[in-house]
Amino acid sequence: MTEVWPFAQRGETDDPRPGDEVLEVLHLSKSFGPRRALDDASLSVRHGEIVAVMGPSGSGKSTLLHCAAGVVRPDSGQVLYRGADVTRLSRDRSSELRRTQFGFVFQFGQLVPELDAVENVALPLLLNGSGRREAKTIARTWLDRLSIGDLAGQRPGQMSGGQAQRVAVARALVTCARVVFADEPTGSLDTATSFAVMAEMVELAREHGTAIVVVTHDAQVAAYADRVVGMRDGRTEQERGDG
Amino acid sequence: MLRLGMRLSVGGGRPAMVSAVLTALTVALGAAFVLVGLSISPALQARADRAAWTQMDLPDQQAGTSGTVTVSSSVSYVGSNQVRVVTVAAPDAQGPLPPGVPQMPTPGQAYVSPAVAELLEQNPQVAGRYGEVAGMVGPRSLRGPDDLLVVRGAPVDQAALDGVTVTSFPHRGPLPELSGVEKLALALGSLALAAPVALLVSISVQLNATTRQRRRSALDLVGATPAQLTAITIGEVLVPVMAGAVLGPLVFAGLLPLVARVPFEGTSFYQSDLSPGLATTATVLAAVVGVCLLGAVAGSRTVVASGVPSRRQPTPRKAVWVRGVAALLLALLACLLLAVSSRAATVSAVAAFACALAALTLSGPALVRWVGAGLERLPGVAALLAGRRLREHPRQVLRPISGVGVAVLVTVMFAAITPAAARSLDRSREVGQQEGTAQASVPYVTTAAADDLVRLLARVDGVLSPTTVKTAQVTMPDGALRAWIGDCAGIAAATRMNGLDCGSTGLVVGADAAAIITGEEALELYDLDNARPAAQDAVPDSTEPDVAHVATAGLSTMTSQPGVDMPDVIVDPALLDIDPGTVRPTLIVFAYTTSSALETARTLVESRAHSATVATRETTFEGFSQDARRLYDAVGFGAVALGVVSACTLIVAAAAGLIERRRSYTILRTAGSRLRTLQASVVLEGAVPVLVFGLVCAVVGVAMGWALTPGNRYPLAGVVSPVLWILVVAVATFSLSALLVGPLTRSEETRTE
Repeated sequence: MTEVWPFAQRGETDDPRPGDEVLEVLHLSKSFGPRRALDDASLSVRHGEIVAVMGPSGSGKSTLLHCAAGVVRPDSGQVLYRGADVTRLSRDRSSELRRTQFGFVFQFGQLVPELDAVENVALPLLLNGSGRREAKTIARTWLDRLSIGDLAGQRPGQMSGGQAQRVAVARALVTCARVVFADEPTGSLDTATSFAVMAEMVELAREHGTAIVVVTHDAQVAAYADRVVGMRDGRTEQERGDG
Repeated sequence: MLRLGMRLSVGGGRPAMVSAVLTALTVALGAAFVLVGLSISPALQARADRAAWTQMDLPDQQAGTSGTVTVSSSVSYVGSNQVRVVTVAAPDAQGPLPPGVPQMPTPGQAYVSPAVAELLEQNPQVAGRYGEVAGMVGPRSLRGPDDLLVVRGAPVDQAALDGVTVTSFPHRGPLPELSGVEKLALALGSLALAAPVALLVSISVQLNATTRQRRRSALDLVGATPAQLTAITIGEVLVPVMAGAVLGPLVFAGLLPLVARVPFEGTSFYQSDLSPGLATTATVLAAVVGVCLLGAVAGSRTVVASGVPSRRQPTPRKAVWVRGVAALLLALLACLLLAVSSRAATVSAVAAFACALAALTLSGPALVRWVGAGLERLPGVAALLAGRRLREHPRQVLRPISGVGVAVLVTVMFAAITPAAARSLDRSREVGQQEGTAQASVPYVTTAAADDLVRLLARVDGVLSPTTVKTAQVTMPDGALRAWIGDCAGIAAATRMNGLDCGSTGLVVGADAAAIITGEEALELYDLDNARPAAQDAVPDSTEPDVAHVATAGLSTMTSQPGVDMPDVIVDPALLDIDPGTVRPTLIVFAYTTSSALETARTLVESRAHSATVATRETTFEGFSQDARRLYDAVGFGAVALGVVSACTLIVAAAAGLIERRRSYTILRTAGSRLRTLQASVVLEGAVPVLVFGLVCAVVGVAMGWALTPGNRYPLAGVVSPVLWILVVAVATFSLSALLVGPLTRSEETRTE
């Protein structure tokens, strides 16, 4: 059966409205060998909403994030992105989803060390078929908006942690992603830089109606969220009020 | 995407450049080794083609016809060096000119190869043996640069005695016929050599694999499709692999002078002969590039997107069990095939070897893991680090040492096969001549000329008791006996035969032969050579007998003489029932005291008698052992090639492993680990598994060698030394590679990567 691809490029058709649910995680379970990382975890994210997932180490936060983003396939349960089950997508479709609809900001390693800042930011656009010049121009715009335009020609190894995370934020948003998944995005940064990076990411996301799912154990980072979801032993706990 | 991949491969700074250069060199080496292997057959064919005109057996004209040339070949010896002597004769200048000579030599003239010219210079006793030297034989007629060839002129009627008359020369010669054991050795050797070459090529694309996997994981995360990732991976390895492919023929050209020096069938190779051809070269290079790209793509497909730098798909426990069961089944299949191959089935022996190799490859990781577990229990941080590495990454550890394993396996296996094979080929036990005696074969001389030769030989200092012998066969129900007709006392003195008592009856028969002819009243002698030499295919002169009889009454016996060159029966000519004058001698036997006397005698005989050859125990032994020596040449060549390929694999893989892990070492040093501890762990993680795996391969090799040569005692003592050498070199390589840890962890680029 031919797979129907329901996701349009942003701005083309069918943009969600505020209050619409864009991502719904239903009863996810995932085990790594004998260890159960997720146990009937559920989560919902609305258009433009910022959701923080908090919990102690080993509670399954990162696994939930990876499953929700389609990076890790759960053992059971569903992840519905605007009605389509992400867990059942082919590898090609899953890649397309990550390329066009999702963005990622992780604590380490998501930048390609061999490419400079502007190339790293332009990467999703290039993979999506944009021309080099056009992609780089858009990437420079995003670097400027994050106040790191002067780092365009520098490689990740030549930047500070905060600068590298800003590049990662720019890359996550460059395709105007509808959902950004952030796993401990400020985990390696000092307090001041953490606030600055979070503030910039949240501001740009709100500006573009992008939802953010951020995994953190830092209450001050969680304070930027509209909603906080707790996790313990692989289960999601009650959602705490609007931030 | 290809462009992005290339951008990524050149964007990695100095470490990426080092890896790219190493990849290119490794691909180049792999391609060069394959080209060397594929150039052997064309080289042998080129040799055979140039020698084809000296080995013709089908005439197309009568000798003496206008426009023809008559060619006959014989063998001469200088010391133990075998010289091919080609006698040519043409009735006029219309016939074809033999290749490699500027003009047809006239009777008494000779053209010699440079190697023969050198021999003539070094041995004054040989001067004049082949006639007056008019010039050099060029490469167009030589099998190799040190080929010993003489092209000499003769009258047509002389050359026609045993020659072939043609109007043109063939351009295609037959390749040497291979015996069953040679085919077996060749097939096993090719397979053994192919394994490390494949390993070397596969290592080339794994050199920067960790970095590429990290990049691939990051690209996968941002949404690169599998097709895009494949294109990027190809782009990443394309430049160094293509550079390696371009370099391959250059490395091959660099190896040629060394390969060309390897002697085969008595002569080394012309470098120009060692050419696999343009089409083969292009195919090999395309195949090497294809294999490298496929290897890189296949290797990177096991990497999955992750938030951490790189995460490999873990090997499922089920797969480990499947691998173990497959290894066991392959080992059993190898045993089964070996049982079949003891009945001389080359295919099953090769299949058994392939199964054993596959079983070792499949079980290797488990063995390395087991060694790692043992190391972990030893005291010390170095042992813990090494042990953990072996347990966690057994395949990466196995990569550099598997070439060593193959080398050990092949060495111990061939150590058993080669002597057994040589024994089956070597007919040296059939040589019966005594030391210090010679047999001059003079097939085309008259009795008077032979007597003249004997007189001349008797005058040579150091030549003793020369005498003529007429040869014949004795008809027997179960075959034939060799008979020498001549003066028994003279023969006894010239040949120094053991236990020869001539008695008084004139008929002496070996003890074994005497048992066969009991009851016979007379012996029938045939294959007598008529007094007048004639061409072999000429109609015998009906007025002269070719059969004679001798009465057996009162025969005396002698000890049976071993060897195909010794007689079963010695007959006094006076006992024949025909006139002995109608039969000509074809053999002159004599004793000699010095090599100088022997060479002088050879020159005397060979310069006066057409197609004469003076054989000694040494040269007959050499002639009979040619097949065995060819086998030893091939095995020696294969062993050297295998050693070189395995050494390259070991060095490249050991260095590449350290380069790939430079970040881990840097972190460990930053965390306070002593350099000496890290170096010790590098030595342990290389040396211990190579010793264990090497010993396992040795045991498998001994078992295979023993099974392939049933009934032979395994030459264990001869194997210990080469195996020890291989393992010592491997351990030394790992020890030396440990010295790289210091410079690698000092690199500033490692810190900022």
